[in-house]
Amino acid sequence: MSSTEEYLEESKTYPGHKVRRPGSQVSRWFAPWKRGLGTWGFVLNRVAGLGLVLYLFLHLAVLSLLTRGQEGWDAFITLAKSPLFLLLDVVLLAGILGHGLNGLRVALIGTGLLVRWHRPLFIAVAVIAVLGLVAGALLFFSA
Amino acid sequence: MSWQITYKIKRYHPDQGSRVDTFQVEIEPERTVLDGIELIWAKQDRTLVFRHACHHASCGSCGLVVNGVEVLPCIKLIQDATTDGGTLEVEPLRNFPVVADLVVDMAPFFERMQLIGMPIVGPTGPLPGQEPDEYTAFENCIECGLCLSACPVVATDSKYLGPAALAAAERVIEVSEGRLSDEVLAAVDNEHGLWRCHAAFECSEVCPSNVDPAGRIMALRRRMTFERLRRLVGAKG
Amino acid sequence: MRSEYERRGGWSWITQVISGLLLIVLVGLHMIAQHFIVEGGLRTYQDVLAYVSDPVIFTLEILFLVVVTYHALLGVRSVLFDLGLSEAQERRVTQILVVIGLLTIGYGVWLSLYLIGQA
Ligand code: SF4
Repeated sequence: MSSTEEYLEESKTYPGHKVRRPGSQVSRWFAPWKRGLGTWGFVLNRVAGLGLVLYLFLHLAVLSLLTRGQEGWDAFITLAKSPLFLLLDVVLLAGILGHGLNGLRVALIGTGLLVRWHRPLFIAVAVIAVLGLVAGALLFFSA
Repeated sequence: MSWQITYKIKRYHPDQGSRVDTFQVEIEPERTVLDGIELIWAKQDRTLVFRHACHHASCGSCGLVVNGVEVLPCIKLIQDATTDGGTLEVEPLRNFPVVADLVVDMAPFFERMQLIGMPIVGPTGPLPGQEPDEYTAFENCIECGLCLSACPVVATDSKYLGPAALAAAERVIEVSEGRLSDEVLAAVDNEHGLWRCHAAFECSEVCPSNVDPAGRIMALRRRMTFERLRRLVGAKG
Repeated sequence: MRSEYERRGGWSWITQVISGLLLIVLVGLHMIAQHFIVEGGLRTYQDVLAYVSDPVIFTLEILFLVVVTYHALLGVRSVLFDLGLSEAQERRVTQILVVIGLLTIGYGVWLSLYLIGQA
């Protein structure tokens, strides 16, 4: 990535110095390659979090079908039980498990309780999330 | 036995823009990445701009990104830095303005450090009640800036105070029994201060001097969190 | 050197952690209530009406809505603040997100009350 074009703006906090323009490197946080487990935790947490925000609003929008009464809802239920939507449910569960468990980890680290344990904690989060996901997927598709 | 090493060096000149130059170097794998760069400068290209001084990881001036990871090239052995036994991709530190080639402008970082007011040289030792194992003196910081280059938050938020300065603040609090000046406190206990950190731990990962900035930031956060909660309870009780 | 900062920002992190912990409980309840307490899940329109009309469920769902909206939008705010916005842009972002949050919660409450009215 080119280095200097980003530093076009005069710094307000540090007069006389150039800083990156705000928002000029929007995606630079997404760079877990060659990085440690901590960065993977951060990046996965953020991606899952943004996904869950999207889901939240989609979910609320879909619920507006309820105002159309019986027919609207029945149509939705048929759709919701199609394999594609069940697959989306699995993705949702992955997001919830990943974000929730990793959030717990961040809370434990951030309050200074288990700072030195952040790596094993990440592995524990990953293992529990995968197990939960498999269990959930089996449950969804067998129901 | 010397190895054939390919250095791919990121070049930049304000008038010429940026490019990558490739150099072949015959060198023993037990020598350092910096040795190779100096050889290139001495034998192949006198215009190559890079910074170095002490050659033993105490001045903190030579920091670079080598094969995607922040290192001090003065102590990084070539055999440890190459993953394929032959190529070294060398870039300037990230998240700093580049002056030329491998040299970046460290001023924004130094000004943040100055704001915190941590004396760089001072008597050190474990604090009362601290096990020698837990003791990571902030005075170890050589102000190399590797932590800022590795930090994903510094990468997008140019207002973030950054790992080294926050670690320094925690150390100041420790040695002064909880006191920070109002001005420093304002910069530290701030949305672009200690609360901005996302605990990616890259700073601690790359720090060549065992400062553990991420651990220090979490200690600072714990301190400030419990202080706030105490004040809340105090105000209500 | 003069600092432009004021002391703030701690509560957003602390409340994000607290709301996150609450959500772990509330998401669990939300799923369990919908899929297991009601026999066979919420399949029919009548099921849904009966579900929201239960005062305990209603309270839980509204609590869930409030906490999840807060947590979600605070998270979005944090992502945006990471981009190094100007002070004015930061204030704007906060204002807009507060409005979105209030509208979201208002919509959820309205929808629940509407459905209770239908029951
Ligand atoms: S904290 Fe470590 S990585 Fe950061 S400037 Fe100091 S010595 Fe370098």
